[in-house]
Amino acid sequence: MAASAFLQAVHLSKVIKSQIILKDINLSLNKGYIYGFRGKNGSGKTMLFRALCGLIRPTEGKVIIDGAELGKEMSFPPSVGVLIEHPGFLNGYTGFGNLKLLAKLNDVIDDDRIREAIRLVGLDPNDKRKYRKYSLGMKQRLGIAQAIMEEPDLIILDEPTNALDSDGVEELKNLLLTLKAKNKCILIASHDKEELDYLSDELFVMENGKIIDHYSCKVTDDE
Amino acid sequence: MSRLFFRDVIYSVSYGKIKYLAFFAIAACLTIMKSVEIKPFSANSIDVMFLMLQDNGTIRRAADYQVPFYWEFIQFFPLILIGDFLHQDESSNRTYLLLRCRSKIRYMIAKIGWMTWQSGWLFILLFFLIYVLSSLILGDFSLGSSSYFQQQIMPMMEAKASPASLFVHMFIGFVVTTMVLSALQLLCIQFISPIATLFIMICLCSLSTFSSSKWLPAIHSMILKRNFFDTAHHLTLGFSVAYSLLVYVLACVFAIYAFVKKDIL
Repeated sequence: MAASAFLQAVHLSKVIKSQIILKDINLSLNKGYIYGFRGKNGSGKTMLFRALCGLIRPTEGKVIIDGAELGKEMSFPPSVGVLIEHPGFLNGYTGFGNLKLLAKLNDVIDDDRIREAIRLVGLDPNDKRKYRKYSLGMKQRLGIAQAIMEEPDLIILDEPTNALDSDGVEELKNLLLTLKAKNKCILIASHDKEELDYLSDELFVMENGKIIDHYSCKVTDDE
Repeated sequence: MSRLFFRDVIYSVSYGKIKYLAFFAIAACLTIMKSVEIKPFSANSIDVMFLMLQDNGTIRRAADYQVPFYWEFIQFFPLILIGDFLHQDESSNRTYLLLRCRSKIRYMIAKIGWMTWQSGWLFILLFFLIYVLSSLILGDFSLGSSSYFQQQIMPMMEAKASPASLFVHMFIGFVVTTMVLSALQLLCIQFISPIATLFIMICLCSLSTFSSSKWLPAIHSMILKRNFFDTAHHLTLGFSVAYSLLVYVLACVFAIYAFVKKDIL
């Protein structure tokens, strides 16, 4: 395991009510890469993401982000954007209004950056429609926008292509490649093997809380 | 933390605006009905507040028991509003808020601040609504001792109290009781489902309509069980405030502790 990895999971395990949720997960992830996680429902992808965010505390093992141990030296990663299930956006607010309400919590980005994030996911930042009028795909895009708007170092997207049409999936792929080029560490979970193979530099296959396969998807330009 | 608090305020008002409107609309209807009912007796807004917000008093014989519908509505509805928002934020927004504020303690303190604010402004608005509407209908904007107060309310008292004192006891009683029950709700939802929590709160409130034990949290908003209506139980405003604040602080501390220790699933 590389000592300088941006994000490390070391023998990470989680047991809830005698049920093994995660078992001996070891990861070494770097910035500037996209890591895919594939597995059936209940395989532990979302739980792993929650553990990497500090939302659940491991029963054994540890998560180290940028040299600091999660749960000891810090409660949560210092710079993370996530999409795990739909955020509870307000129906009576526009997409921009909803993101602004969240962005104000950290107050590290201005309105222009929020608009830029909305534009990046293929929505119109000046759209005056309320969130309740959004289609499922638009809601998903707005969820992705909230994950990336603060330009976090670590981006975790659980099933980001859910409810997206083919154009939306294509746009998301381009967006992730752009973020990768900006030296972000990106983790995505999906059922879709083809999609993950295309996007990911490395792919982890999960089953029953364990990583059962791990391979590199990198292809050279010639290939 | 203040940013989280203000976000909670904005979110809760926007998320629950229809429910808030329903609460105040029903309260307005009840105020109008009560005001019209006592208009012929030279009453003022304090009398309407008393009639609307009173409970069923101390039960000495089971046959005397009556459900205090108005008191239950005024006491339950704010708890439902508060519980609804807490549940919505727990289920849909917690992950996104926690990862932005990066502290479970700050997150919970903001929620407690929001609950306190909510308990205050709901009752400030409710009392103001009753005052304005009843005064308009009764044609009397005074807050002093009316004929109705002297002839109908004072004879019910075992110890004398002014209309102002009655008002202060009712207002502070509802605010501190709502604060305590909200904090207990916050504590309970760390362990059990919001629906089960609300059911427990309703049972806890309803217990006070049967029993006159001053250790029950909901009894402190019951004006007819206060010392000037019922001297036997020595339920003073000082005791109510001190006891309620103690339970509130304890419930909040345990809720924070439970939240810090639990996994965010």
